[in-house]
Amino acid sequence: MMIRRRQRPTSPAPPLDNDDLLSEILLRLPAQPSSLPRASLICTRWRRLVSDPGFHRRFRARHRKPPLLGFFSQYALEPIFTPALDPPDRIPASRVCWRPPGDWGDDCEFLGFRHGRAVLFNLIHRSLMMLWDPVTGNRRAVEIPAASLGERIFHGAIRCVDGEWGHVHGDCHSS
Amino acid sequence: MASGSGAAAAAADAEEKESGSRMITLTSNEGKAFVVTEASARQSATIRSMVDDGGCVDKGFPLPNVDSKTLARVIQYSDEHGNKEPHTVDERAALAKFDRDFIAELDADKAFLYDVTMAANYLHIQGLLALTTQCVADTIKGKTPEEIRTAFGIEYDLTAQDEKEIKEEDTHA
Repeated sequence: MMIRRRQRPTSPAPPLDNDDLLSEILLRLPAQPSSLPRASLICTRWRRLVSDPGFHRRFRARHRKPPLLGFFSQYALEPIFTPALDPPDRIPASRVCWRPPGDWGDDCEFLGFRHGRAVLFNLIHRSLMMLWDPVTGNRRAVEIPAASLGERIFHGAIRCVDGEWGHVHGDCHSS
Repeated sequence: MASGSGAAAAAADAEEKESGSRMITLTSNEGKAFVVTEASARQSATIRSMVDDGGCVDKGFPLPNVDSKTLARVIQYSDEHGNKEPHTVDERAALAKFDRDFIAELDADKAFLYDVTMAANYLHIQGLLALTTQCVADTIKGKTPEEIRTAFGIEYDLTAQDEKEIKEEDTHA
């Protein structure tokens, strides 16, 4: 009684032909590091949709709680990154290096990591802290007010003050 | 269905409109008519706005983009979600189970899943669209780009330079 009017599998799946519908589908991919790079590698159309800043905003809004990529532990002064995910989502430790070549050569002590950013204390210029975002690679030196400098610094942490309802810490680093 | 004329019929119509008990006819592109409750039809934002804008409820709504088999399945979803309002934990669990079974059946017939996805998009049935697009996303999940292209019949049109750029972006992400 019913006539199927489409020949498959040679023709593309129809929902994927519609940009809006394809965006809706790609938004629902898991928030794993490999999801969007893989989608970009499908074809130029998928790449265009996935690269759109509006799509990125929606993707982030949808996946409010990002995955745990790994954790840092400190041996001597160097923070060592241990990836928590399996391939293809695994972020190799070599990609998560706070010390860029030729820059910030001073020794730093790793004080703490919170809300997506690390706090490092400059052991040479002792009035400087460095804030480092390992996801974007951004680094920022922050002067420590002289009054708050004691004999020793044992711990440091960065605190996100975003009080917006529904804000989940860990995804604060873009602000 | 209020089909008469005059004050009594208008009053009956208003009463039915108030209680949401009117029946609405949806017609597939094959000309087959499906009579559904207004509550069921209102799952579709497209039909809801036509009804609220004073559309021709009595004449029904032709759906030139939806075939009978797809429409029947869409109505099955809309009836379940529109005609019952879950109040208790058990009722909500039953609705969630309905959704799981509904999508599992569609997942087993991809061509039909795509038809229902297209219809949910055309009719703006938010819950059904979320269910079906998630199912398609789950099909993509965990596949390599080659496997995705094969599964969906997508032609590869990236240049070697494009691929290089994407891989570099990923490395620096």
